[in-house]
Amino acid sequence: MNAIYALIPLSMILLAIALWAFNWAVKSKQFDDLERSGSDILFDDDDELHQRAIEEERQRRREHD
Amino acid sequence: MITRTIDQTEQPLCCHGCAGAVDWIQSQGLGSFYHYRETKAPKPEQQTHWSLFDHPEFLEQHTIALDDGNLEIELSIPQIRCAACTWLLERVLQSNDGVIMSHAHLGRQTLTVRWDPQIASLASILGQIDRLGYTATLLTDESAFQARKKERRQLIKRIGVAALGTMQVMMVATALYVGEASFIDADQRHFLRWISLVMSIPVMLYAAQPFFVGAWRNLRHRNLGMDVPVALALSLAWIASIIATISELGEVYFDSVAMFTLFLLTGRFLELKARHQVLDTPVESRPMPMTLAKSCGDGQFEQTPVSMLRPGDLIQLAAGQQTPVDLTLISDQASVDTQALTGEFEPIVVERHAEILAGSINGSSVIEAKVLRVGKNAFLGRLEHLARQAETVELPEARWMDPLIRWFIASVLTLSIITFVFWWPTNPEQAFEYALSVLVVTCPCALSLAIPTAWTVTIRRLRRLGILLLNPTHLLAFARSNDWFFDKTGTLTEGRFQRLGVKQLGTTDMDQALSILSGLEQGTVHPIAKAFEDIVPTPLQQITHLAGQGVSGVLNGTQYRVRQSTLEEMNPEFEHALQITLETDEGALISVALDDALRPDAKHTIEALQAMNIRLTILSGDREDRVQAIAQSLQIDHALAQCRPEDKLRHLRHISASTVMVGDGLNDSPVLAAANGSITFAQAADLTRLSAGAILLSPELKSVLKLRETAQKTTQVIRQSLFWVLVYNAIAVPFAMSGWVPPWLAAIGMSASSLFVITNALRLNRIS
Repeated sequence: MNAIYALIPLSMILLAIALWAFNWAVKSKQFDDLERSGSDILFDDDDELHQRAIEEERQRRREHD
Repeated sequence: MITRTIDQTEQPLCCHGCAGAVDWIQSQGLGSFYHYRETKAPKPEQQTHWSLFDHPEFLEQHTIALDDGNLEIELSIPQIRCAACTWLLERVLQSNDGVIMSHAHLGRQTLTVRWDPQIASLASILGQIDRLGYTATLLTDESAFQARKKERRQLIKRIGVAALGTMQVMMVATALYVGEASFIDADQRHFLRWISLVMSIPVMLYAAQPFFVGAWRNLRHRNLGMDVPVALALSLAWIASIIATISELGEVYFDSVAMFTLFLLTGRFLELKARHQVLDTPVESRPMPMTLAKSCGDGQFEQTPVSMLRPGDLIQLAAGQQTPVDLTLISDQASVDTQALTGEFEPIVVERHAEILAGSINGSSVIEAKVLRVGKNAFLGRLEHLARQAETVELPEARWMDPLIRWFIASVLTLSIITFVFWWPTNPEQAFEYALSVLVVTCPCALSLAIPTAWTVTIRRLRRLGILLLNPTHLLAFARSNDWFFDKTGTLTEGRFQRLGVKQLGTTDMDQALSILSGLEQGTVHPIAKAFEDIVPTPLQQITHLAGQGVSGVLNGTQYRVRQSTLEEMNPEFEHALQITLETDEGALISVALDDALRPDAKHTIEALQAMNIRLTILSGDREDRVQAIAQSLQIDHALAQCRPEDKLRHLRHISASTVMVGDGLNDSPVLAAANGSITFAQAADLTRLSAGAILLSPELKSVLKLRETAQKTTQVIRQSLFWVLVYNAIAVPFAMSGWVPPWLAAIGMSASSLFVITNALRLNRIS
């Protein structure tokens, strides 16, 4: 049971890291809009047609310039 | 007909512009927008010259220059209605080279864009938003919104600290509880207690701060608020636990303290969100134009951003354009539509030098005018200021349960003291501990969670039903009030002209004449034109209209004119209605009677309300005969006509019981603000919407029935929750007082009662 004397202080360091990460997430506005985050998962950015369209648009612009 | 295949079905479209938007969205591979969107996009308004917005002066005023040379702007886009809109806007803008970030905010209906001015331009961004069918406008009250955002962020941080701390402390507490039963090593117990002490420090000193601040404020104002027993229980339990840890005697409550803080903060956050939602909801009901045509001498006009206009500038206002500034008319005459300001839909005719207030719409052809007042001094600015002032008044949510809370707090404190005094002579070591367990076990968490959780669920549920609940305190009136007041124009009626009947005067075919009439009217922005929207217009040449005098046009060499009917031409059946006549030089062809008609669901709604034994009253600013006609057709006994805003207010205040007002005009604002519950429509003016407690997003009056039903369920659930909290306390307190509740049982009881309250509120979601 002596392991707790090492492991619990270690978990406290992890807690400190978690607090820092959470603070960072709030500061970088990740919690500003709680309503839409739930539906973000519905939209597929990897949609093949979408990716192709972006590529085409870039291509077109490069030629245009 | 123009059609496009959207989401695997053939859909009709109104114009090639919309078809273009559909094609473009689909060519970008963003077609799933149509699958996930919850509301339909509105029709885009006129084109603007976006290149103006790359003017250096404009950019300096309205954008934030970042350190790396990039620019950022936050735009208000009132048409953002669902997550699909935010996704579409973000993805489309981000596919631009030079756009570094775009983030749409659903609750606030804004879009933040950051771009590299070397590669992209604001003009191209605004143009793209416009092409998608959205209208971007500049934000107003920036600072107040930022302050609210900061407050929310602060609270989220506190919740995060409390949650992480609680998890750790609970974990250690479990070990201690188990250890208690299995004879834990004294050293290990000591060590684990010290660990929980250290981990509870950030929770107490940072996360729980609002309760200490609140309790201090309460005490200074000699008010027994909810924060007083919370702060007392927290600090006593924490200090007692620290003493117990150091002296190795007595019980520790670190887990209860942390959990307490977490639950209470959660309740506070829900409440804050419900309150901020009111303030964050954008007030623009219709986007104001961002540019106006300003004279640059020698008869030339140039589009200029509104924020760069100064009093004294000469401007041109196009037909149908809404003015964002106060004006003095320079043209001889103009017809002005002030429906947004007064609720009356018949336009007024004004002469040269008359004042045209911001928010009015030009109902004639192009007019010239001088800018009189801009920005905060213009009429809209002053209204907004008034509205903001009204906002800072504290919401009366506390009224819902204030007496109950005070009674509860007073009895908890008294019982703790009694416990202490009772045990002190016989058992001085345990007296403090028992008194403390009374404070912990009663836990005002559940009590403070009962209302905000129910509100939050109700707000979401109503939003799905097409009702925006701005002020949850109005729910009580919606549920219980038996005195409902209705405005007439625009509330019980459609608030626009409709054809009541057509009378043939000449020999011309009626349909043909109506089509010509429609052709003449479609060229105008007069509200009468709306009555002919459903008739296919015959195109005419040389359409001219004179303010207040009618329209004329030429078809195949014959001149057609529309004017007010003479007495002989009128259809006697509709004596209260406005009647117009179409004529040629040879004589009159037809006369049409036009008037405001009842909403199709008005009868059904009124009957349903009457069936609930609700007394209904019409409060209208309109003429006596028109109001009586409507009252008779709806069988409403009480109808008051020709009411000024202050008359409406007086009639409402006449009733001492709880009242509900339904209205849509700006002149209804005072009475909406005064009623215990108030309802308005989405298309109402800004101030009206701010004064109301709920907004019906769909133009259906019968939504008020759903609102009443939901409100009744909500009040029922809140009452249940409060009742059960009191029952729980009535059972738990005697045990705590007799010293039979160890810390672990107090913690379980406290969480169980909070969970019960939350689950009960979630039940509101399931009611069909």
